[in-house]
Amino acid sequence: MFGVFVLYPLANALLIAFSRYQFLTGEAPRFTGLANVERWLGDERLLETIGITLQYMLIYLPASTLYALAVAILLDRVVNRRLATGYRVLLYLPVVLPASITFHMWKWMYDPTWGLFNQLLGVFGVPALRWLSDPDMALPSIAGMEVWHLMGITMMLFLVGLNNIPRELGEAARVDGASPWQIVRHVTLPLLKPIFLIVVVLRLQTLGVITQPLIMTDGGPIRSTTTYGLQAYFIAFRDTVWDIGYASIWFLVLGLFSALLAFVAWRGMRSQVE
Amino acid sequence: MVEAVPHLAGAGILRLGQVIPVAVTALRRGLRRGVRPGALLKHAALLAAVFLSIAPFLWLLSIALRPVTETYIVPMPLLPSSLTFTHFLDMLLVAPLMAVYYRNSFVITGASVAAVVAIACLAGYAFARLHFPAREPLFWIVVTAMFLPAAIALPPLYVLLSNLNLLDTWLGLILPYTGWYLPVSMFIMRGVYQAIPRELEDAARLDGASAWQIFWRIMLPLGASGAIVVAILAFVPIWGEYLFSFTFTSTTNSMPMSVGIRFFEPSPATGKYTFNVAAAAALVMFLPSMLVYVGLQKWFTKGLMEGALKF
Repeated sequence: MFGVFVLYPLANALLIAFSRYQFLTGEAPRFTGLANVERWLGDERLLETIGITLQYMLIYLPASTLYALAVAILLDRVVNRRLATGYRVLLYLPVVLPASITFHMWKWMYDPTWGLFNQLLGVFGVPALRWLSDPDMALPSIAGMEVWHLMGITMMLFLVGLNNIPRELGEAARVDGASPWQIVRHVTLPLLKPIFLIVVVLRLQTLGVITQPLIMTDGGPIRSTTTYGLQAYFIAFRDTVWDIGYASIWFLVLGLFSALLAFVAWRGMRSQVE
Repeated sequence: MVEAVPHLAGAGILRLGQVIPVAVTALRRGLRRGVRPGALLKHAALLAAVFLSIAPFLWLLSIALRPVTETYIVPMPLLPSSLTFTHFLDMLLVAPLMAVYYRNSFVITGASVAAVVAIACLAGYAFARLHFPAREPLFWIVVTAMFLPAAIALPPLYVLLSNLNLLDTWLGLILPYTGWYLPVSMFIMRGVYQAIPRELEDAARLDGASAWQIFWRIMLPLGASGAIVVAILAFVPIWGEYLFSFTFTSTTNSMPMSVGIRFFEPSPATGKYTFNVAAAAALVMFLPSMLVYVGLQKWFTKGLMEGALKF
């Protein structure tokens, strides 16, 4: 099963990526060497979608990391174990929710007329915003959803890191008269450096984001949320001829890149835990 | 059961007004007794974060439980003045297809998770203890596959499923899901079995047990907690999977609820389904995840900290 549904498609992906294969034309795939790669390099959508993806990362990465770090530091200082477990369970809850339903729920929350956010703004007398239909707001809106959805994972990673820091260090600093903020700044953060690295590398995988914009904005408005992965998806399954051969090059590059990142994060994680 | 849980939480929203004064009094009392303001601030911040994490559900609950007459009003009131459970029934009456999407979701997720666990237990044991040709190279292929994102297999998988006539069938999703969640699962199970002391096996072998008996009687029961972790780690993503199911299914033949939900988009323009029914549908979809999560909480944390992190 693993062979047929993982290895065979992967091998096939390699072959298709270097072939002309337009699914809907019914034409048999034909090996064309590097023609697809050349087309990929010269495609104006390449830089555009990479730009959008990087923009997404730049919003998402700092926001999610800082939020999760703040929560983790606070949670680590809760002494009562039952209370700490209660907090942790609830804070982690969004992570285990079915992704597709979560994205739909947020799409409704962003709804300009009936959504929660404009409802709340209305309470404070602020005029309604077009969360997903304004080209300047759509990307940050999706990133905001993702911060909420995956904060628990990052929080857990930081908690593991904080757990590895001996309590005595903080105690010693306090005896020496350091303020809580100084302890965090000069003792905790430097010791968390390896975890930061893992978090960043792991979260870099959001470069492959496809499903979120597919559900919430369908790449719009005016292509403002068409990320690299989504563009690949559109080429394969949306554009007129379903250019599966050409799309495979897009996917292949994405796959190799994320695999590399995941591997680096994994190595870091193992060295941390051991 | 389905209705009992939202009911409790729904009542909770309504009582929010009474809870706040009580909390304020408790706070005052705490301050008088000399609770440090720093600790207070810490808990206030954590409670705010917790509230952020669950606020979307509370909102969804308030939509699912309010009458339609209180839904399409601008501005929509945050809290309904009365509660109703009709939308959970309406889901099935107004939208008979809903039940079909659910059936598909259950069949596909159930079969995939069962297959993943069964194969991962067998293969994990083989990788951990048995000697067979090319064991190490095979294992490295598994490890490599573990890091590849499933999206890159979309085009070739689509072609493969189309050639096998499996597009828009249950199997057409079960097989790819099983394949893609196997590498991680095999990896975890291998680690679990390697951690079981070899002496146990040796003792059994001396008593005349066969390899199969050793697996069935000793390894399987001892590795049960690992198997639960594997099952959870497979269940969570498969239950809410969208990319494969959106691409490989097209009709009620096999479409799971994770894709079917998009037909319940609460647009008052089409007037087909109300926002309330959509919210109820989403909540019902959340329910299995929450039950699994809360019920298996012990293994969840353990699995995340040990299994998933360490791999």
